[in-house]
Amino acid sequence: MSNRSTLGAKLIAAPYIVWSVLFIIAPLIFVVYYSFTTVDGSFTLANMAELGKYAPTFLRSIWFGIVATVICLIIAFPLAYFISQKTDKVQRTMVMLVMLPMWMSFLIRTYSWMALLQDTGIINSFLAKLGIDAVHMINTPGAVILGMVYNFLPFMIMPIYSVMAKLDHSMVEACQDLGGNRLTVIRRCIIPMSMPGVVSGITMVFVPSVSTFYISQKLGGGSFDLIGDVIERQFQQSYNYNLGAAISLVLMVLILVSMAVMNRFTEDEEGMVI
Amino acid sequence: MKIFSKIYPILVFLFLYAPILVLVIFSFNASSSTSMFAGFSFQWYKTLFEDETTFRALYNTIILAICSSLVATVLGTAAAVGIDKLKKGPARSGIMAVTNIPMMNPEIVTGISMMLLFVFAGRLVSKSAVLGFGTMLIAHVTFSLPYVILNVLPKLRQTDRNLAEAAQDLGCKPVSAFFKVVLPSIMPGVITGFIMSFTLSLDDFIISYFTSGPGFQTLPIAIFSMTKKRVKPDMYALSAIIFVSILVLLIFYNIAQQKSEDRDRGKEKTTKSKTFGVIKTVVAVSLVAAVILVPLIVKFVKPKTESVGSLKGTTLYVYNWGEYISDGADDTVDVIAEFEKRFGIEVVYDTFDNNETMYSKLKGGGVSYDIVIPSDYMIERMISEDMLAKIDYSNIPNYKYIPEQYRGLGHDPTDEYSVPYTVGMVGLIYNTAMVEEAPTSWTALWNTDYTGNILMFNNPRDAFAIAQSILDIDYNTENEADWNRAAAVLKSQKNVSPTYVSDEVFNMMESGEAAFAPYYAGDFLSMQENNPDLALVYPKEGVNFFVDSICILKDAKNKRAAELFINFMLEPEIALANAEYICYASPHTEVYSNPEYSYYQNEYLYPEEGQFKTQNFLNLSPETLALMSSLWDDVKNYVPDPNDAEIVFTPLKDTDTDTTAPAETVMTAEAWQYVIYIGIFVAVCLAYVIFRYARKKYRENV
Repeated sequence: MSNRSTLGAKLIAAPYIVWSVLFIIAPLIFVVYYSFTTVDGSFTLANMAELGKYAPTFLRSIWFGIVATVICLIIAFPLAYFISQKTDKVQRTMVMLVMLPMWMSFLIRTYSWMALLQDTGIINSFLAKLGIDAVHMINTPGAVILGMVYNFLPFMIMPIYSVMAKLDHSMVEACQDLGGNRLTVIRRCIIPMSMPGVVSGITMVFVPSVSTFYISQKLGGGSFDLIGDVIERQFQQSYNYNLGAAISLVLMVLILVSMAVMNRFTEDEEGMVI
Repeated sequence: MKIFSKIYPILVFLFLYAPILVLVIFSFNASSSTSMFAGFSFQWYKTLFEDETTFRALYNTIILAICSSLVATVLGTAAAVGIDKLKKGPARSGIMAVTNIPMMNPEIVTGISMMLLFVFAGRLVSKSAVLGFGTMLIAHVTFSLPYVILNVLPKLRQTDRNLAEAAQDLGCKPVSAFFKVVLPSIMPGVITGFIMSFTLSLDDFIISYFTSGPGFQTLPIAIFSMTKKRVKPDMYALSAIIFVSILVLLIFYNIAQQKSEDRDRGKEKTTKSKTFGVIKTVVAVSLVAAVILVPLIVKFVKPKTESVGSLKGTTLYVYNWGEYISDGADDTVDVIAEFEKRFGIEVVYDTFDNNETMYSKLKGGGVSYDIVIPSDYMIERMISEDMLAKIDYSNIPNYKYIPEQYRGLGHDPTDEYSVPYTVGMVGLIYNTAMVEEAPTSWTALWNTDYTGNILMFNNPRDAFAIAQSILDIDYNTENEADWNRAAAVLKSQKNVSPTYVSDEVFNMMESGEAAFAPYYAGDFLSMQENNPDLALVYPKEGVNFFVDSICILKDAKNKRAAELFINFMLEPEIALANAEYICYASPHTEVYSNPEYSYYQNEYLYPEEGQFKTQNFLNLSPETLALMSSLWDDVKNYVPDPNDAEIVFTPLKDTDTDTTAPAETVMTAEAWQYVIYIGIFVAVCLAYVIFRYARKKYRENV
């Protein structure tokens, strides 16, 4: 009886397995298929050969992604720590405040950054009133990175905070009892223990930053092509599905490999949390 | 440290809320600008509530979010229960690895991979219109599933397995044991999973962008097409409303939770009270949904139409440019509503923002429309690819209003497939407040005095046309060397750091953000209304003349209604309303010869003939198109060499050997710079890892 019910229980995962084969695995097979074929379906390596041309774009995307991730980490870590130190009530309010912007369309929020950063925008008109010369901000790499940091910062704050909130306080106290001052406690105790949160935060910021296309179009003025822009253009404008699929494939492999490498190094620290 | 811990969160929150503040303030702006505040007004809220498309999109978004999160929750919970029963081993880790894919994969890759699958499946069942609600539902369920599973699994692990067995021993059937014992204890995880799926689906743009189809537009997609055109503050108004309602909801929820916690203080928290809190959340979420839905449903109870006829009750699918039809704002004629009212035919209306997007969508095979309004060269291409149906002109008596000069044009020489809708030219717009002397040539767009203040077309065909005008090359040349020369000119424009824009041009020119921009003369008129400093010239090298025409697609399901629609669009008062709204020149005799027409004999729209050369676009061969888009990618990726900032125009056609593709180094200085940065970063990370490893070993030894 017990055996049969376990088998039955296992079977209820079957619809999901069918679903993931159909809608997770099969689509990826199509990406691979399109990458290595021409428009009429014959095998080719031409798409892959053409990728060399996009090396600078790949590098730029990766670098922007790294910078945005590091900035997010630097901003988010202290914030998550401070939040976790507050009383329960304040904590809840602050977490709510972090989450709230995510409920609004990121397209609109990015668009309103344009209004802030433009040469005749809100910041510059404010500066002009103070008698300071206008600063050119929009359409610079900085503006694109700012857009990434802004949009993905909550994805860094939340996982780090949720690990810190669950930290075993007796550990922290033990560390203090052993004579650690505040800085030592943070360095030797809190940072190592919040590593799982940091790792998942890095993933959740780096992946969307590298592959974004809307932010670079709006805040970069189209002059800093990121790899997402190139992919979008192949599908929505040039009707070159094959090249688009090839670029996507490389992007996917790059990201999955770097994530795997990162997880390997942090494996001993409890794995990922969401 | 204390002070820092107080100030720091405030600073971060200021950063997070700055754009939201801007958006709330500007939703009350009296003008349509999103960067200059002209006075307080509620007009955008009024416009918003009159706009049916936005509400339909909002409605679609919520329906999709509810359906997809419900499906994902049920499927995901079942999957988690099954996975939990699996022993650790290759089967389990295999399933978990696959589960992680949608989370780890960039959204754009997930989006395009699903689109490729759907398009293929559509071809397989030879059903052209697969993209729509169904495909979006599948896509949303797929990317939500991992979040449900990963929320439920830990809860299952915490549940005592003996409980379910005990229940069975006491005579419960396995199924009811699950519902009575297991499900309540994993409920918090299930609910969290549901809420996460709901939120993700609500705000998803990238995956929806690639998997959406006709007639089913979600809010993020609607917003995206609007931010390509000109975001009017009514979108800000909508966001402000959403923001405030969520804020209020969260505050209430917080207070409620606070109260229940106060009540529980001292008492041991039971599963029951937890479940109770969870149920409250669900109730709260559905309440919000209801609050938003009720006015919507009221809005969609449409008045019954009066007319009869065999076409009554049928549906017509129309695919048009954004803001390319009179929509009833400010007491104009709402053309679509008028058509629906008069003929009892329901119109599903979607928009695109350039010919290539439209073509890709149609060619991709995921969608199906009856009416489409492409530009000239695209019509020729679609005719050559057998995508358009021949129009039965006897069903369109109003075709008589199209004068001879707009008939039988190069793209449709035999006049069988298209009915001209608007015509226009590309001109050079400049800001007289920034530019002293009126420009006469396209080369003004290369003038380094205006570095950083120059806008350029963000689509290859229009951008190349400007370079080709300067070089005096035919727009429709099939000569590879000609295209390479034009690309070189476009690359040299990078020295003035142009901003590549499509419809962002409106905002940027109106707010005085840029000095020069090439754009369509019709759009210039609406920009000038908002910024009188703007002026337009038709450069001496020549300009592009275009015709956008109404066509019927080959696979149209309602061809008769489509012809009815075309005839309706040509009715003098409808054509006039559209011409007034769109601001483009009209090829309709009763419009342009009507003295009451606002742009009657307008110098920009209807310039005297013969002052400058005009050329129109024709279809290019597939090879040339491929060359163009590849060269365009090069242009966009090009980084100018500061030591070689000279701009060379070669106005004469020279057939020198060096005009063929120059052997280019792919790795630019900028690219090497990134290589170095990334290299240093990786090296630092590696060094740190090695250092830790070494230290660990050292300590172990000690």
